[in-house]
Amino acid sequence: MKKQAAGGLAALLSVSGLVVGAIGSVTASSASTRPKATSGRTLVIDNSFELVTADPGHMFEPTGELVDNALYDTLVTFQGGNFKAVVPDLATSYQSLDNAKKFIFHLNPKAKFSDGTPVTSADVVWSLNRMVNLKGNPSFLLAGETITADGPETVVMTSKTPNPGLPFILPNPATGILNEKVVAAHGGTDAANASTKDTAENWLNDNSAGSGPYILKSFSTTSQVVLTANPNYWGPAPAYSTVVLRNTATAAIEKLDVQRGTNEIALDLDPSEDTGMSGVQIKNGPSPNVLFMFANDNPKISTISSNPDVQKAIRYGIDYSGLLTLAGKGSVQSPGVIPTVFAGSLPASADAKYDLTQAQQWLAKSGLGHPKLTLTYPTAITVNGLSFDDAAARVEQYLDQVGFDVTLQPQSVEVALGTYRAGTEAFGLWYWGPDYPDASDYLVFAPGNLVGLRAGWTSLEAPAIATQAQKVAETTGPTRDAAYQTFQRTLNAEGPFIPLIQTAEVVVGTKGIKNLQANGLWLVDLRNLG
Amino acid sequence: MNRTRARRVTPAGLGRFLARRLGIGVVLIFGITLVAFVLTHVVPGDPATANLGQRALGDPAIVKAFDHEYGLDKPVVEQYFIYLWKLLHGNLGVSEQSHRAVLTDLSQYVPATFELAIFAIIFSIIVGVGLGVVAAIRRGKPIDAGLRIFSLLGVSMPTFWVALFAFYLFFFRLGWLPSGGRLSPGLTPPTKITGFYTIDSLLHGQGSMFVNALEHLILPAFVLGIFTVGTVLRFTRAAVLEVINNDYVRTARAKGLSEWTVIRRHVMRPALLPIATVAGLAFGSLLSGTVFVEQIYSWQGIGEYAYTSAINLDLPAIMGVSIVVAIIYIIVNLLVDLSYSVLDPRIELR
Repeated sequence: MKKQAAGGLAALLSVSGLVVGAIGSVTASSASTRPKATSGRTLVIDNSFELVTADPGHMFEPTGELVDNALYDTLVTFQGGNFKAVVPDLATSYQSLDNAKKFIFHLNPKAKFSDGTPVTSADVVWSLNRMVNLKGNPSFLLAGETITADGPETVVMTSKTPNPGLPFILPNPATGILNEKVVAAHGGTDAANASTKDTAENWLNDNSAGSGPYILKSFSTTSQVVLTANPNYWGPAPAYSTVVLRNTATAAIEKLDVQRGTNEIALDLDPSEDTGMSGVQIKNGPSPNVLFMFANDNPKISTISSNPDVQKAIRYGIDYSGLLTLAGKGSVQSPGVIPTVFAGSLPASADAKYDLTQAQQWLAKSGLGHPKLTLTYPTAITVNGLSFDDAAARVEQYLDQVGFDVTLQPQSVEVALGTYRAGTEAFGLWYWGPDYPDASDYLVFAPGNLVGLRAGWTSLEAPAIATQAQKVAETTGPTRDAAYQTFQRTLNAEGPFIPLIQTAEVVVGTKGIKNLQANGLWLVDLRNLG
Repeated sequence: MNRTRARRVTPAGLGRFLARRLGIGVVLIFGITLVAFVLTHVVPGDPATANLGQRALGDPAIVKAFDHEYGLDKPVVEQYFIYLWKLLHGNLGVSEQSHRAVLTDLSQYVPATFELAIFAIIFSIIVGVGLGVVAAIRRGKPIDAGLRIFSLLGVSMPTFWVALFAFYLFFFRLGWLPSGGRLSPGLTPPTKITGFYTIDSLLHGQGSMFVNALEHLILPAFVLGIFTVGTVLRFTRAAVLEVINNDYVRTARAKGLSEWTVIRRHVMRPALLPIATVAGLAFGSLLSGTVFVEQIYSWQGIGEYAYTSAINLDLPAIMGVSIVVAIIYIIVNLLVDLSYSVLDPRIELR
């Protein structure tokens, strides 16, 4: 017994010694405060992570875009949240030839990777081909493009059909340029079978091989991502020596963090949460996320939804200002499917107008009496803080006033996506977030295209509009934006879609942050922050 | 476990007991893999839809590559047997959401939750048993009434509310404790030995790291433990009341022993059996029920991993989590049963 007690005491003393010894090495700095960077400033950002990978070839999530935008340069990019024009990045200039079937990019000879080696056209060709051949989420971005090098500083991209939107696709961080030699040495390949042979993703989740202003120090899809300034960056040095991106699942916690000044930026507050905050800077603006409804045009799915008079009644029967109140400060009505922040969008004067009398007249004209509508939508998800459940409840209220008998059918995202993709939903409430900030991304709403088919709208039923969409896709030059506007007016007049609103994006930061701006593509632009 | 008036546990008896329980455990785990596999296949939804973007879904080649990569292009029964075969070789597959081996993910998340749950259960047992004894000794007095109300509040207050309130008070208002996460932003975790940041930092002699990890642990462990405190308090009070008026306790008092000695030696020992049972059950539920606390305190543990796996229909991750939770329950139940024979030598393990 004594022996046992003595043994236990010895063990206790050992553990105590370990604890005391370790605590004894505590330095004077408070442990609860943020560790000081060795030099320069540290920026801490709270974000509810949507993050799978840091490998540009696989990446297609918002948090991943934020990270990769800081790590990797692209051929061209956007400046300061202006998505209507591209500016040089790795390419000092580009030429569009052969009716936008051919693009020539001239690389900046000063550009170099974080290891000091120059960025060459071979790196560009290899990186972009790898992204396509990995057959991941972003592969569609450059599908159909043939990418070749014409000398060490020239890249040529050609396609069989005109692709005037290409310059607006290339700022996507998924098209970030990797250091070929470094990544290939860690299992990367751009071969046609890259989807099964490329093994570089794990390495790229621990290291970066780009030419951007930051390099990857540590990466976790669940806790934090740490970036440090690239000492070999070929552009102006970034303002922060260290950027810590923290995964914070709760907006209320982000709010308290930024208000107390513990962390500098909160990316996930919605407009209702930023009210009453003081001592911080709040940036509200319209996001490129468009909330829309559709009434299925296929009579086999619903004879009610496919009735053009019903579709008009719905369009006039929605109180758009009520939805804007719900979405909060910064949200705007979407005059067409293309959000107002992109080139080719319609002006605010084209907004659909709420007119209950007209809505009731169109419903009466349909001869359907008080038809029943079942509105399907994904439940328990939000877009920039706007709950689909709340938006659907408002729609139900408005359409009941018109004379419809609306039943809400909330479904889990996975279930709702199944019927949505199959084109079997009679009435749907969804949103479209941009794959890339160009009007061509919205041709999916044309009859016979991806979203058009989901709304039961085939090219056989609307051949003239399908042809119009094809022509718009090939339009280049100064008439391009006007062509997209005309296309949207046609969609509004004859299509089964009812564009509703663009939700508000909000970014909140401490007073000391310069150039703070919400960014619809990569949440916040680390390159511009000061 | 069988309770009889029997002899002390012999090494051979203990060996037989452990072997039998191990065998049952293995069967249980395979049963759970089957249930989890069937459930994840009968729920509506498609992993490709949950994990691929809208445009990628429109490209059959990309969907095919995804299905091929995760073995979803094979018949369901074949998928299950392939999974079992890999499981027997220690391979839990690759997560569709993180693109990493599920084993790698679990080796990161399980220790995080374990560290939190162990601190929470230690806090719960110390506070719950202590207050339960006080409530029993002062039965019918105001302090007993107060503790019963406290216990009721502990078990009835929603965890997410307590978590948010505690965060607001102790971090935002008072500034006594740090914000969420396991460490302050930018700190690199200690090199992994156990996965417990507190222990690993000590083993590496990183004192400031240890203090930092401990500070981050206090609030979530307190919130997670507050529910269990209420439960343990109620069970302890009831267990102590059951034995405190027995003849042998009166005899002990009549012998002139101090009240503390009477409680410690003659009351607590028999009362510990039901307390051990409830503590074991509580530990299991702590481990599998941490999702709210983990979300609010940005504590990247198995609760949050299970949640994101479920909403993304990440089959390999769901299976991995199910197996880990099953193993934890089996081990905790085993430890509770073993503790019976330690607490009461009359109990034989068979």
